[in-house]
Amino acid sequence: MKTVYKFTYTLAFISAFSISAFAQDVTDDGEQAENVTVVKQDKPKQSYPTIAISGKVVDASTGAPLAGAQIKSYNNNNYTAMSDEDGTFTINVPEFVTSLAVNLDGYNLNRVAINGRKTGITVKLFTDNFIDSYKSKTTAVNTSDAQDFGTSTAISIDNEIHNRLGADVRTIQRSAIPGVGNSMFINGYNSLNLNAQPLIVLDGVIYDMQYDQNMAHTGYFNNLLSAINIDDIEDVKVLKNGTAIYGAKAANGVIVINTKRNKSMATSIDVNISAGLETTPTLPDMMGADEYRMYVSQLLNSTSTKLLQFKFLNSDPNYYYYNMYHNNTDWTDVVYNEAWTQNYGIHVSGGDDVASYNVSVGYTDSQSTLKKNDMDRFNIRFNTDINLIKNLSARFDASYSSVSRNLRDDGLISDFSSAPVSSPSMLALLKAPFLSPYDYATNGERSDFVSDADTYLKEILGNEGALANPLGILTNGDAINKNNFQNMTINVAITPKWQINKNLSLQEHFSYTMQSMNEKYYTPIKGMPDYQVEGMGLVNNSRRVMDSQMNSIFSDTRFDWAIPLGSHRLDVFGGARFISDSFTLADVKGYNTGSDKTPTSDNNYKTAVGDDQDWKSLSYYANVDYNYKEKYYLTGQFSLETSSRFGKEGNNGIGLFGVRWGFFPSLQGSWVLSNEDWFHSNKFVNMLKVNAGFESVGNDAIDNSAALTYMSCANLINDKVTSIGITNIGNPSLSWETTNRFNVGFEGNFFDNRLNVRFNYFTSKTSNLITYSKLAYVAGLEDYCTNEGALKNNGFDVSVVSKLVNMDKFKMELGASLGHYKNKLSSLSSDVNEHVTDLYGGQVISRVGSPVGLFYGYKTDGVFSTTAEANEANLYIVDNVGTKHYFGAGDIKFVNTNPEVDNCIDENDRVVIGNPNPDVYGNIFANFYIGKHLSVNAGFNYCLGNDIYNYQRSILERGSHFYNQTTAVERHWVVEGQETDIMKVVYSDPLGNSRFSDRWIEDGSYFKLKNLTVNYKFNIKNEYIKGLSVWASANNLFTISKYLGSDPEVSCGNGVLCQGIDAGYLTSGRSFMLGLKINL
Amino acid sequence: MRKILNITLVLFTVLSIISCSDTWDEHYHDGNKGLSYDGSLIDYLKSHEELSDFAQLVTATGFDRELETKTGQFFTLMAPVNGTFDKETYLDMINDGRKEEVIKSFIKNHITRMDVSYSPDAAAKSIRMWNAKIFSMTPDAHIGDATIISDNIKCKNGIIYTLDNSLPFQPNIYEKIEIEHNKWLANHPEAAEEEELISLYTFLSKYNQDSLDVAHSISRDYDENGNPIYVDSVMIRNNSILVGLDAMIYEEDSNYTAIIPSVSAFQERYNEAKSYLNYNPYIDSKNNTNLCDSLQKYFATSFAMSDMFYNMNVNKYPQDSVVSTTYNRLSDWQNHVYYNPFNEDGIFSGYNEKFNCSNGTVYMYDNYPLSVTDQFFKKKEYLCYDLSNLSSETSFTKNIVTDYERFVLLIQNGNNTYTEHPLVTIAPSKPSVSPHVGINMTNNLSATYDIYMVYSPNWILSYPSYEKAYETAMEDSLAYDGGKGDISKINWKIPIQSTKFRALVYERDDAGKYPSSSKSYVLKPTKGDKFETRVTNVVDTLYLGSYTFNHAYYDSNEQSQLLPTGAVLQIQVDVTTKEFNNYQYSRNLYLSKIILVPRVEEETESDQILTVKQR
Repeated sequence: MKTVYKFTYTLAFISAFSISAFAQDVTDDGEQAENVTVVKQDKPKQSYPTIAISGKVVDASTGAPLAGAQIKSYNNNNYTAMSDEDGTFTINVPEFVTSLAVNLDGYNLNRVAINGRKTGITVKLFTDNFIDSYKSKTTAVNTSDAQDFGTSTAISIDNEIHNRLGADVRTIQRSAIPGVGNSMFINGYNSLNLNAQPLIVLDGVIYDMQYDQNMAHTGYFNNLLSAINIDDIEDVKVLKNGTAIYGAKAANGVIVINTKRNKSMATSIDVNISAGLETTPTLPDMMGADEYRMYVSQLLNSTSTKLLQFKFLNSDPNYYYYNMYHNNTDWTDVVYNEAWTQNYGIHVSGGDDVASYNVSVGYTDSQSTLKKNDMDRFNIRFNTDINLIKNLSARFDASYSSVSRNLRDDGLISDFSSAPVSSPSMLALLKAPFLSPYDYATNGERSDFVSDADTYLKEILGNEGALANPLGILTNGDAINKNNFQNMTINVAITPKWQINKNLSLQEHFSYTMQSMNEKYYTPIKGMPDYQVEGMGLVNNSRRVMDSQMNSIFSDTRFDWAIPLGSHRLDVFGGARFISDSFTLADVKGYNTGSDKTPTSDNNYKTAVGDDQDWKSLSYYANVDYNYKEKYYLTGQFSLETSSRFGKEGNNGIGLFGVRWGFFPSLQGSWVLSNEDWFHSNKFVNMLKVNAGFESVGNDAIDNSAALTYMSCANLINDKVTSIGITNIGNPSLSWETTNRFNVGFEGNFFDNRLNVRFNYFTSKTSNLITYSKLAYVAGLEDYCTNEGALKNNGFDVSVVSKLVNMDKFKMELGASLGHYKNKLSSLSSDVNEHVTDLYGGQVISRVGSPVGLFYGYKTDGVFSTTAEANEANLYIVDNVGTKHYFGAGDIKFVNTNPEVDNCIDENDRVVIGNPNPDVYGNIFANFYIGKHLSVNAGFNYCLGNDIYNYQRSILERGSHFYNQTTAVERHWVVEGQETDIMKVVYSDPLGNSRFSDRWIEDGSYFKLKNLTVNYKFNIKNEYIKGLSVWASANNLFTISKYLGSDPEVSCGNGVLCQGIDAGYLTSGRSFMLGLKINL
Repeated sequence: MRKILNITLVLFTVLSIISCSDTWDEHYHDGNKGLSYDGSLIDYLKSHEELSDFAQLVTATGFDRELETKTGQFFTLMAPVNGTFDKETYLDMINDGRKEEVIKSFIKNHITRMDVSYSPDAAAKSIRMWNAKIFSMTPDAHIGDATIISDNIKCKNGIIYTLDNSLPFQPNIYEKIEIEHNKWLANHPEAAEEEELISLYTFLSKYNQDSLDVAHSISRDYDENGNPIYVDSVMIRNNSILVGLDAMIYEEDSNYTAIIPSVSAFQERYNEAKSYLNYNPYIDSKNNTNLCDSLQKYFATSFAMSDMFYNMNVNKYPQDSVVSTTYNRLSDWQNHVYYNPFNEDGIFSGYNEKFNCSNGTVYMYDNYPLSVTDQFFKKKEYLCYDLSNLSSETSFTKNIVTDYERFVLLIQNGNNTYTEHPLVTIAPSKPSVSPHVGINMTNNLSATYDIYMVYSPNWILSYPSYEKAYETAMEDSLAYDGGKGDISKINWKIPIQSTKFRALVYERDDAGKYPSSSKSYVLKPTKGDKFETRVTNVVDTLYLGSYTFNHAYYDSNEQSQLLPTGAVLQIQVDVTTKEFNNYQYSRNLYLSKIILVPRVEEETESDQILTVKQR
């Protein structure tokens, strides 16, 4: 395999050079990327007949003439002019020029269609407070982008993508632990079992985001984007289509992130300081001490206890244990606090015509509202551009980022009853409020010693009912060698570029990235109950250390060739891209450390597992952008990609050099109607562009070794014998998933460029889905990976931005975006029509003909109020031994969906009870500019029509265990005739009243004021300070939602099927930040 | 169209801001929904005139605090309306310092921790009150014998039912015994003056200890002697006698049947039992204690109580037979089985009064339905195979081979089963002398027993010389019938001989000394002055005569330092040299066991009593 790659890689170099050899007679400027510093202007060698066009440039708000504006032919630097003092200009452009670009410092770019006019063209420029309506270059591919994150309060860029590009990317917060970020989906769900999140391209380098990496701490995800300081980011682009050059990695869309580079030779020093406070999140209302005691007192009846008096039920204030069991502890106070965040950043940029640089150093210290989940980050980024010799330049970039954290388990694990609750956030809700976090001394007084796991139910339940003391987990589990996380990212990139001539260049982008992660997990002895571990018996604590390192080598060799041919223009680039990743992981687990003071694992029991994986991919790609008269645009793309993850056999793709290659083409076209000569210039339509396209892209996020057959070690006979057994039966014809996507849309500027509307519709089909097929029983393994099944997505997004008020002293901009998708599973494997996945006590069904991720469970119809009502319904369940148990008064009235069969409530009565896919989602924003110094920005997010499985509430309102419950359970059924929606409380729920049903499915629609920022720019200009601004920002000021959990923005993981499940991970509170920007 | 709808939806949601926040409140802040009465249980009692008597008693006992919402407990209250109980009597009891009694028998008898919901459509259910008494709630609106006036009144901290009658307090068996005792005491005021009152209740209550559960108690400090001072003493209600009997009649955990004699009958049986327990005063002098007296009292009471309690959860077919709780701890459980107890002559008939308690049934008798032989005067067996039953004192055991040959004789029964007969060979160490062996009489009572010896004849293995006999038997068994296996064709070359012996009982005197052989008691043989073994049966029994033990050694054994072995039965083989040399008698004895059979009448029916299988 390796030799094949070496060979093909060499081939890539040769082919790249050979193509460039044909491109020497081409002239004209050919800058492709906007971030290239050297812009050279030469007179065109070829001259065309020109015409003179004259007009006037004015300020859009005041109508005042603007002098010094640059007027040029659109996307062509060869024909320029400048406006006079009265704003008038005359420019000579060739006849084929259809539009002019006008810009002026402090104003937005305007593109004006000529439409056959020679005089009287009035160009109204809007100040650069407003969002740009035009781009300096147009291609057939539509992209959405966002820039200027100067007042962002987010830790990682995905939050800003949520806030700013809400309809382009559907983002769902993973958790509000600082930096854990958001799951992101573009164009619906383009996979079922593989990663469905977009490809991240940072400064041209493809990043492996390790989406399927398991962490030791529940509820935590190592979001690699959080290693990047938002302050370092210049812009973010979302590519929803036309992504074929990213080939087998592009099916889920692409997010391109570019970091800041130097733009001018003047030395500039920017200092950013901000600090703020986040309040604790909204939590479900839990019972107080008295209400909980009453709940326990009732629940005791359904246990087998014959005790008549309990310590915690003795209400005599003189009783020795009275104080111990008569606290009113709000455990959330123990676990949550107000969280402070501080940010410091300094950017220094400058240079000369030989070398320029942008250096930034940043430090972020972000507390979490959930105690002991704090993070701090230190980062350095060093971006340089060097002109080595004539025609040879190089970019040299280096960055270092170190993230360290405290961590504790957060939220719920999938199988709630399989292990003791170890997450302080859940314990804060479940723990009996009449207990105290501190021990009571023998004199009956409360001490300062943190108490151990509770024992008040020991007489009744033994050890099983014991709950940990969250304060014990927080304090006794706190040390750098106990619960700690470190992630270090080092990147070095060098990009030599040979400008062969004005129009042709060749560059090699080489990047090395190291991601090193170390996570330590520890549950303390004091504070946690003992618990059973399979094969180990009763243990008193556990410890786990995970170390992983990923080394990524990325090489991209490409040429850029610009071919201006008068009215035609051709921009071509292409090359070869080689990615090699290696990942090692050591995961060591031990138990019974003996003491909380020496949490070492050199104890009697250890398990160690590890990973040592390499994966590589190689692709050849090319992109051709063509336009005629800047009216008709065509972009053709293709890539040819192979990967070590693909099977070497099979029919998919092309077989070359002993491996399978995927061919991924794309063709996009667009037409700017408004630039047509027949289009009469008017006030209502300033620009109108329609586009359509097709692409075929892939998803290669297959398990690295799924195509291989391999063995693994196993311990047999109580670990006495080490054996080796077959672990995977490889599928040699395993291939990528293929997504074919068709898109159509338009973009237009209307009403004197006051209204910008963009619309994009897509329909796609993903085939060759990776599914897990059952193996025959004799195989000894359950399943294997195969390409079967298909799913379809279609949807649209629309965004509207309006410059509603444009007065001299007051400006207002309003915008809204709306995204929608609909997906449908069109086939699974040949013999299966549906598949049910167990997740967090619920079931998610993948059924042909339905959207993915549907919740599949029981329908309910309230609670039986009377025995007569229950008797009439005559519903029952059948237990393991075949005995019928009837539902009685106070039990849940499940809907018997098959009354013609029986009255038994069993699996056959399950129906689809919820759909986590939203109808629409997006964001709304309003920006106000008052005077020259003050601006106010408000950003809203919304999502409508999605259902959430509130797993957390299903635990908190189960009414069948001795955990604290929400106040809703106070109205549980008690007596005959009581009308209520909460069933009677019965220990261990023998009838399954709290099974997965529509009781736990809720409307997840929300509308949220995500962000409100006020920025004041001081009018200071002196020798030392060039600029000073102060800003204040508030997040999550209000949320409108019917959701009964903390926050409707939830998912329990990165996978497609995990969306819409609330596992109780930390949600955001309100936060308030104050910031200062100084420009020196 | 869909898009338009969606956009409309957005606008609609924005406009319906106000309505949204209600969902949260409706869900989480509606705890009082479904209340029939918006107040606590005590508020309800106090605000309803028809329950004022009950409310008054609840308050008087301090139980009103328990029924407030702030205690955070949930109760169901079965409140009897005014005039259905004698309020004044209870108030008087409270004033007399008998508050706990009122709480237990009245207040807790009407409160349960269960959440009880009544429905005419539901099946009858058992309600366990706070004092553990159980009442049945039936679909026809009855709780016990009381009728429900109003049902399912849900208050903040519980449910209230009003009843047209109060619920009678059902004592458990222990409480019944106490009540009967107090009743008797009321009629016999002079008995209260007695220094030591003999009655079942006083005996049981002595062992009725609330012991300290050290593991669960909390000590804060130490006194000057270093003993912990407990700030929280967790007490365990324990009655060692009843626990030992597996008869926790003071708890509502099982269903018992009890035979309770009247106090005077108990005293009579106690005194009778005492005469069987005349311990040797030597025991006291040896241990320098007053042990004899206490042993006598203790065992006399135990004997009098024997087979009094029957756990009906264990006795599945009581019509056929019942075993008393005593059987659990004794290996001789067969002695505690009573057949057809409900028949006319059964133990559960002829009672004076039958009473249903909360944990079972009590049959009360004027006289014992159990005889002393039923209860404690039992047959005793001493298996000689068990060497500890053979005296190790050389004065009782002489001239016998020291490594006793022990073997088990299997006797085939008609139905292809086998009976085991363990035997020990008593043979002379030298052929010229006669052996004699002593068997320890342990655990005997001071009463008259008939003594029997079970043995096998000498042809089982005997020959003039032990080794010779063994060899011959081996040779013969190998040679018989050409090895084909017909045992009847064996040519036994062993002479069939009897053994002559004498039997003597040595019993310690009051000083603990054994008498000399001349002063020992000689059991008279039935004919002549020597016993002679019979040779016709494989296993035979010989009646050795009766003997009245002066002292009881009940609860003694060889190893016990406290109670030494009391008496020894010595078997002396008495065969003259001439008789031996002439092959007239054997000096070997194959002993199986010694049996003591209680003699309750003057005339013994020795052979009929024995049920040893004979061939």
